Amino acid sequence: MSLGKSKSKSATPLIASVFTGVGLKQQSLVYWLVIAALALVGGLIGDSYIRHIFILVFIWCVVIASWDLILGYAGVFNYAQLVFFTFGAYGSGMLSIYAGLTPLLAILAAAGIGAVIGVVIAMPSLRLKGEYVALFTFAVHLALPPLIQQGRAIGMGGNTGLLGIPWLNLFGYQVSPIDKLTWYWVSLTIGAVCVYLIYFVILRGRMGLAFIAMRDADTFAQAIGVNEYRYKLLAFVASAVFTAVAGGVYAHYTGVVTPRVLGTEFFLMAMVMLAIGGMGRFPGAVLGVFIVVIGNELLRSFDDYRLLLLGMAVVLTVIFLPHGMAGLFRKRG
Amino acid sequence: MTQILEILISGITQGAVYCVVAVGLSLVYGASRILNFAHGSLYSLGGFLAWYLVADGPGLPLWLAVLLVLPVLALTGIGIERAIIRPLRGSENWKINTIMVTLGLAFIIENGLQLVFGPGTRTIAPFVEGTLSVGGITITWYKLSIFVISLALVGALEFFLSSTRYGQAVRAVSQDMQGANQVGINVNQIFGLTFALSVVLTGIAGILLAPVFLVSPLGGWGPFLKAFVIVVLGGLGSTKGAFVAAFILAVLEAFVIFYIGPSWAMPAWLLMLIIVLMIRPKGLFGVWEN
Amino acid sequence: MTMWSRSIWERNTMLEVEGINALYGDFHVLHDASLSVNKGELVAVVGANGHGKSTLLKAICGLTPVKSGVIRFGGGDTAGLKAPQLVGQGLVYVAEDRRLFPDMTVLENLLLGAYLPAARAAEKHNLNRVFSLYPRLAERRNQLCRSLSGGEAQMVALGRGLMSDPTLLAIDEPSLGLAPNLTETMLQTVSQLNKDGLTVLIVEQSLALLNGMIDRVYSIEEGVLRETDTDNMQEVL
Repeated sequence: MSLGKSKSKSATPLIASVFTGVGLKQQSLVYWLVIAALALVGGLIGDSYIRHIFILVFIWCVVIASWDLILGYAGVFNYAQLVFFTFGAYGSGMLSIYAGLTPLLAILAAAGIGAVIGVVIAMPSLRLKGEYVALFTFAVHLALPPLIQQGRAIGMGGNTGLLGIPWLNLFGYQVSPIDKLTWYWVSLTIGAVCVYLIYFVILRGRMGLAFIAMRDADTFAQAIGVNEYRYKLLAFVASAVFTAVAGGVYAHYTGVVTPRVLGTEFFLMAMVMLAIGGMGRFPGAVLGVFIVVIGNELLRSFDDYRLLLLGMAVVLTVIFLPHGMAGLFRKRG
Repeated sequence: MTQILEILISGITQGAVYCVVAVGLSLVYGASRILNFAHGSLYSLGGFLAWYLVADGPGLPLWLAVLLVLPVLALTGIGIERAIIRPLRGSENWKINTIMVTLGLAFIIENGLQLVFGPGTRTIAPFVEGTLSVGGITITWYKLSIFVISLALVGALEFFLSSTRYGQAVRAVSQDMQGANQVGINVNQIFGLTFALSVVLTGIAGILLAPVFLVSPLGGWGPFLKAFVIVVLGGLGSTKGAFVAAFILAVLEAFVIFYIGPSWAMPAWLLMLIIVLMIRPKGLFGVWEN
Repeated sequence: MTMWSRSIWERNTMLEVEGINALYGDFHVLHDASLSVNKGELVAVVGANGHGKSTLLKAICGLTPVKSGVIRFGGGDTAGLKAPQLVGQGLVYVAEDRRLFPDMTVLENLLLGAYLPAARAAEKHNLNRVFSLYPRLAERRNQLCRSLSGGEAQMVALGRGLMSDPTLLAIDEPSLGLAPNLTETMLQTVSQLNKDGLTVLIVEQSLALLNGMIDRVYSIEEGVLRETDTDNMQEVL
């Protein structure tokens, strides 16, 4: 009750700015200016290794923005985010290897696969409460690697992974993974569009309004007829679709997908990004990606301790910086 | 017929140990509504500490190793509650924050174990050898003894909860926290106590199962998920429920392993989890959840 | 009171609240509330719902934080003390919503009242007292509290408070959810306990219920506390 009281106050200006469209134009403009600047930076960077790091950042941004959508905004404790990524990567890779689909089409198809997987995981999850959802979805995550090994029979490559995934073909132009500059722009474009769709279109539309209403005043939201199940299902599907696209892009960039994408390192990285960035507070999560990917590269020399440090980073940020970097900019949210 | 009986017995002995892991998980959830994602890693921690003392380091006898490991586990539990759970209490996103920190802790423990002891699996030699045969049914003495020890542990916990002052305080906190505060129970102290007991229970289970399942840094996720399925089927917070559920599920697992294959055990548990959550989200005996 | 010298008055003051403020979220619930309870008194705080009665009682008993002001119990400042420590000193709260442990028996609930060492020493004596006060609880001692009627639950709540061996019992709206005849019996019991020497601070919605049993009364309106003459109060209500 006390929470409802204090929260509704702080939520009022938020709702106003988000849904009367005030500031949307300016903020979009700022967003695309930043993207343009990043595109320019890509041309200026000479070092292909640094370009590679940025390519990873852009791909991660899509995953984390999608996770933020479902976890931070919709408030569904989904921990199967990398499952969507894995399905996107394997799906897109296999469709281009075995069905001869051109990679761009395969990535599009991966989006479709993501939608299906999203629905499959959302349906049982949305019948459960809070931490049950977390456990169920994480269990799915844990169960997938053994299944991928079983999937050798259908050409998933088992432990060695899926090899020889075709290069991206941009309207006749073959983009080799060594061509970091093109990849930089491709991944930036895809990443920028996905992140824009998530934060500026989906979350500023009816769905975003519904989530804010549900988060801050659950009974009120039900009273005004917000169909919680439908919106959460949609959030799940949208989240899965974007993440699967990111998986597809990743597959064609690296040329290889192994069950390692479900390993501890990726999962920890994703958690740290969200924790450090801050959930449900754009652009926190996206900033978290930049900090963590770059930080992780700087930690390469401590290789043995890296995962331990990442784990500690999760715990420490949640305790000492409960709203992540986003909380530093905005005192109250 | 003998074969089916043997599978049944194997399932039942296994179930008793799962039950120990499960009641530990359930105890913490009941008192503080925290699903401790590091519960499985703490299971591995118990196994590793015992393995170090028995097989790798000073080469102590197992009983002495267990005696030394117990206080370490209890202090670990208290430390976890004090250092990473209590600072979050009363925070705005309490639920998601506790999920994040306990998951983070799980990874810290796993990677810490891997750093200190290296990856790969370890084993502890069983403390009794040989088998017992009755009417054509064979069972190892070891499995029989861990069955008895596990039952004794669960029984002791049940006695503690029902018949001692601190145990009653644990139940009181689980059922009504403000009410507990009102009668003078130091709620934080009880949270610490439940964490200590929980870690001790899962750690002992890790030691008991070391000769059967081996010990590895990542090996705790299996027992954790199984414990969770048991707790969900039995009803969160119900020791009685966990007891019944552990046997049902472990017997099912034993049949799956025998008839379909060991690699299907985990998928089978997940399937059971889904079925249980769909049919009885409150579990068989969920009493603490109001 | 006027006939007592100041030093004696001080010695007899069991609870003294001076200018406390309390917030509920961002909502200012108590404004500079002051009140005192002397040894052996039965003091009432009367006011409508939502005016801060419960918050006042919870603040005194260490169950809700106080923003500013001083609370002295038995002569000592209670700042920084939480409910468990105050219970140990004899300041015991009985909640309006009972706060029983639903899946424990009546007896277990009562015995938990004597959880702290100080109360444990008097456990047997207090249990006998509760059972003689409420023979019904003795009959139902092994029944789960979940299955009790509203009146019985209130008996357990009061009984559990007595088991804590209080020097001051703070009772929060005991009539809540009770039928009129049950309320009357309940309040008569409280009055009897007071006559037997227990100091009581009680909160109620209506003064009519407390007719003739209280020593002093405060009215509370929108978080402002005021000592009132019982006769004046009668007219106001």
